[in-house]
Amino acid sequence: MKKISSISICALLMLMMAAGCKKEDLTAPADRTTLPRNMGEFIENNYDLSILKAALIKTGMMNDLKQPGAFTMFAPDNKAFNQIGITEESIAAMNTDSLKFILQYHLIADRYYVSNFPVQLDNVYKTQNGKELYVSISKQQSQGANNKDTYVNGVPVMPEAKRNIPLSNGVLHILFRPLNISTGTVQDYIASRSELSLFAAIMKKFNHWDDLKSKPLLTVYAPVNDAFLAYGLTADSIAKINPATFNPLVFDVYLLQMKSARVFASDAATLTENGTQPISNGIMIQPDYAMNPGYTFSTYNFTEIATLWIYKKAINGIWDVNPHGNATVYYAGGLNYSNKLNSNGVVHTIDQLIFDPARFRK
Amino acid sequence: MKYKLSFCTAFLMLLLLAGCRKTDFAAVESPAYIRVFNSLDFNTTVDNKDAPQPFLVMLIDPVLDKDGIPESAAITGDFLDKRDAWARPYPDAVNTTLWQKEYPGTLKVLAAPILNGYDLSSWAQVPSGKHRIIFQTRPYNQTPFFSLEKKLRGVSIIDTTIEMGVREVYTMQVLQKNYQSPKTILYVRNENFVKQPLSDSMVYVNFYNLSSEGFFDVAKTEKDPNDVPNKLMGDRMGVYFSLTSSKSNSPKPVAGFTNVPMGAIIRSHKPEAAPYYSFPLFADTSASKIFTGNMGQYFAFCAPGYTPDIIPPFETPVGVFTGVALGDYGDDAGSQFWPYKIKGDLRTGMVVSIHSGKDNPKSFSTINTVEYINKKFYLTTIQRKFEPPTY
Repeated sequence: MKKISSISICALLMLMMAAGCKKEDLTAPADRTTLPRNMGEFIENNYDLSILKAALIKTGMMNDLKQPGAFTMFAPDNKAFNQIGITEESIAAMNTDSLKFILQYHLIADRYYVSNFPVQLDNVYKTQNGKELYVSISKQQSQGANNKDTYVNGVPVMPEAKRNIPLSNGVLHILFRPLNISTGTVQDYIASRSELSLFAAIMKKFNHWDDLKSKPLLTVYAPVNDAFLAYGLTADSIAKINPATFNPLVFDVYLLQMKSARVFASDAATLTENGTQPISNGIMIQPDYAMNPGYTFSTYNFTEIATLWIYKKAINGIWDVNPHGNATVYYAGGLNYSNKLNSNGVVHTIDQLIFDPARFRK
Repeated sequence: MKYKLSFCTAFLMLLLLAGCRKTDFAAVESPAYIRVFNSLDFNTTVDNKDAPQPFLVMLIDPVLDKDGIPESAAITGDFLDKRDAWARPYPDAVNTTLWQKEYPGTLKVLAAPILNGYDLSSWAQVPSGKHRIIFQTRPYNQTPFFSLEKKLRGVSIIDTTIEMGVREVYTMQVLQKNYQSPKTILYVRNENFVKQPLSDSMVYVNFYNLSSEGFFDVAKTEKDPNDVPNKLMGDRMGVYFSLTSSKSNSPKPVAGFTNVPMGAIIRSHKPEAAPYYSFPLFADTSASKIFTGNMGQYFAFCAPGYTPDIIPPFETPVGVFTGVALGDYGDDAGSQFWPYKIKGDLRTGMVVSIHSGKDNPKSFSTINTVEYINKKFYLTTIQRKFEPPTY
């Protein structure tokens, strides 16, 4: 009997010692026996990414994407490439170096899911080609952390299954349109496009041409030639203009009055917290105009609507639609020729003049 | 065997004792008490999107790396968002919100004790003496500051050294220095209410206009169509108060307490405690002397030469009148008469009415600070210690 009790006490003691041990929170390990594919294999085996695949193979980058990584890639799918007129055939005809430069711009180091980006405008990340790209996350409060509207240099990241694609060596996000970057200045870009020749002529006439090269940061809304022709401004008549007879605002507005700004088309939309885009979120044009870059991307049928809304402040303080020109101005060719990032700023192409030049004669 | 058994029992007891949770109680030697607000209130627009954003981290005695990026700090107040219109008289202890409306806010820090009868649980204890304080902007996300990549750790907007006295109570704010520039300053106010013999039958309030330099001159030229009129406070205004008591769900004036002159409010960033003004806790003589009823307080601010009785109700010139309504004031919509309204909790405003002792509710007076900063009013309420309820 005595023996039993001392044994039982010892057993109890042992039990207590065991119970007194530090208890770790144990969770059963998830099944990690299979790894997802790597980024290179994923792109190779996806019909929607065949143009990207062709481009990666041409530039010799495909093998890099099969390495351990990690990378985050903003990948334009075939639809995105087709949108700006690129097909598998045209990839073959492209200059390999410039294609590589563009492709490297879509690739950043480390693994970033959408929820990893801070909820704010212009999170800067260095890409594989050394240039920086700008990721903006919408402040829209109703969206979950991984579903928030996301823009890279003003280009939307596709929703739901087309973002946050986990791979063994990184993350893939599908972009609505390829990113548009060049190493030249704003001046170089405008000079290179024939449909902006009248805008270039105006800039020269109004002594802003050199600013397009020398200013460190600018955002330019460049109207196409047709916009000038609609107001009777031809190369000939522009040559005869005397700038002193105009209020300088009439053409300064396209440079946002030389404000140091990097404005992408989606910025005002990114700032809205409840779906409306207040005028006061926009860009103030002194003395009393405002420009609100309106933008919506439909995740239902994957179309975007982008409009510049121009307002003027009335004497009673209320914002009226611009009475001195166009109240709504559209981007030329959708946004295919906008959100163009150059070494010293962003260029957007618009299809109408903002102000009627005749109303701004002194 | 008996001996053996008792030895076993003793060992068992020892084990039981050893198994207890061992807690190191945190203590701060010769503490000072601080409460910190981020009073910056700029909105991000397309125009200013590259400017530092008003989402801050406070670092006391930080260690910087060779590039000047903070690596650690003795005390960190992270996720410091814009402050709320009403700073409660008690911390939200059970709230687990990450983004803070103030420091310490919901953080589990060593709170200040009850000092001279005032509940200072919204103040944190920090070591007194000289300290370097840095306020750094940080990205809007859920990642703690020191887990952020170094390039995301923002820019320093305030880097200063302050000296704090032992057992002194400080309220600190990050303010915009000039209305037209984003430069910020740290405003450190040594509160003196703990040293004053304030009566517990009076409700005390003092006023500060901490707007930026040049605020009134510039703001009066701005016009926002969505604003109700009379939102601008001049640099020097008189203060008048009115009290209401809620009768059959609508506020009725308390006799003898309509537009009573109270004092002055002067725009200044001088870190000095303003004088306290008071009104009686049981102003409504029809109420019992235990529970004063649901009260509303109205503070009218008038330019010199005007009183609330003679201001023109419509088309009031800019800067002549503004006002803030607190407590149980009825309807929430702002009007030209009461452009600012702060409700707080219905019975925990300037008068705290709560179950205490055998009385439910019982009214207690508070010490309050009303601050006007660049078109916004903020109320800070400090409550007194009161008896716990008995059932």
